[in-house]
Amino acid sequence: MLSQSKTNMKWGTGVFKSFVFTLLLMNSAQAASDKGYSDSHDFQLHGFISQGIIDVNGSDFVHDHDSLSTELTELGINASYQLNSTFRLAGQLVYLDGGNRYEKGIRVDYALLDWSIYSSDFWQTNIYLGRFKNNHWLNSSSRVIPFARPSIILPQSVYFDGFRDIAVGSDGAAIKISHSDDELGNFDFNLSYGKSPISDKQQKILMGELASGVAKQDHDAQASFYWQPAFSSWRLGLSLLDSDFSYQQSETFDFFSDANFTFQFYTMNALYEGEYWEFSGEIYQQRFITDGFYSPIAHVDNVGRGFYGQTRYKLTSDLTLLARYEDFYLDEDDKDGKLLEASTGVPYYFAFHKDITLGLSYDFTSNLKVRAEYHWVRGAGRLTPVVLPNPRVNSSEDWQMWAVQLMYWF
Amino acid sequence: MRQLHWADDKTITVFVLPNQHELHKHFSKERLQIFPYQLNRIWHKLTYSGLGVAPVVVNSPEALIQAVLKTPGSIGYADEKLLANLVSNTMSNSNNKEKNSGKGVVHVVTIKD
Repeated sequence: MLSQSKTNMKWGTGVFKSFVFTLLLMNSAQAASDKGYSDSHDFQLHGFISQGIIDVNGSDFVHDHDSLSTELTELGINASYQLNSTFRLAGQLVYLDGGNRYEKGIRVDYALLDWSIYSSDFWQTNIYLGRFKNNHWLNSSSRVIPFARPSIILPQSVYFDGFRDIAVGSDGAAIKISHSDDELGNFDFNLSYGKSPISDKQQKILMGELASGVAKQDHDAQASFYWQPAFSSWRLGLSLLDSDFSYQQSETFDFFSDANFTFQFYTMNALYEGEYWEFSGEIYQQRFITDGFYSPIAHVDNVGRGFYGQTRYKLTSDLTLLARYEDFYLDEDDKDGKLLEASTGVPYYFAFHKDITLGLSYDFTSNLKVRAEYHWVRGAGRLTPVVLPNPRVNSSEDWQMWAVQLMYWF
Repeated sequence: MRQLHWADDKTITVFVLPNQHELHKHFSKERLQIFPYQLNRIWHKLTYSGLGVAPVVVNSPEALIQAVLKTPGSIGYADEKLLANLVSNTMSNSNNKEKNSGKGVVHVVTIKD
């Protein structure tokens, strides 16, 4: 019991007229009578509801036509059940409606067994089996959560909505190893291996209507490392991704050939969280290798790079302002898109994506928030479909959008 | 703050007040040396990404005290006067005191100005 008490002391010493108090042991009679109360905390149910309006002018990001849209709906419900001190079951269903951004409907966001294989004062190791979330990038695990991500629309060069359902998680296994002490700080190491199904709609979003074959993800391997120095407001991270896809042409008729795709993605990120100011950013490089597809002997190997920097300022405890700049190009040998236009006829501005975002959020209560933002975008490099761009609808290099979203969670 | 289990391997249940509650803000900032919005970011990630279990949020300081009293192996925070009123006078004026009240042992750590 004494060791348990000492643990509590880590929560602090000195200042403020408050108590930390714990109930450490109950006699058998009382424990039995309160067992139901205790057990109720082994099962947890949470969820969120959010609805917004979004207006895009000059691109098919949400619609093929410019008009105010209510296709900004995100709902989720999750449950967690602690089987014992070692095993936990957890799952979440989400419903999304985002127009052209991703497939409309319900999906399993995660459904996993959380196995706590080692836990001590300084170390924790968990293995997640089943469908798990991508926990490797700065906002990859919170991109689904409207009130936890920093903006309604995330930086598309990293958190590309057209790729959302493949990047958001995987079916397989993941391990998280955490270390925490007062000298070196907090370390998190994540490793995951799995794959995601690609729905027909997802395939059309990426490849367009003409690709009548079947695309699938063969594997997705990711690793990441995060470090927060002791008592520091900074957190630094890096991540590595390697993923293979394949495309099998239709047996009847197909414009495209059998293909293998390799996607590699490397990021470095930093996060500073002060009392009023927050700074964050990610720099990244992607490599996309295509063998086949356009023709049986085609070989395309592109390296793209980009970054975004973001700041948030807490004007009051409830009102937060946001500013962000994002700059990304798909091919390091063709940053301005002139080669793309000369070789394919696709307008040059499909080779890059730049976005200036200003926004604000206001917390009405601890679980009711409204967010609003405006985006000035240059380039069509993060519009769908990706493989066969649509310059007829996306006829402008510059386009804008604004959105307002109300969100409630429990 | 990352510890999940007591020394006897039982799970620690943590009770907290809502994010905007003044006691939560003060306790988070002054005692845990972390801003409430940082805790929110961590807890939201745990709760809505399947990675873990966040603290249980209760609506009032009174409910928090009751929840801790009824849940073996739990931890929370409370104002001194309120705790004194709700628990017992003998418990409220001592540092690091264990009290066996017949309903179990409550361990209180007093944090002074």
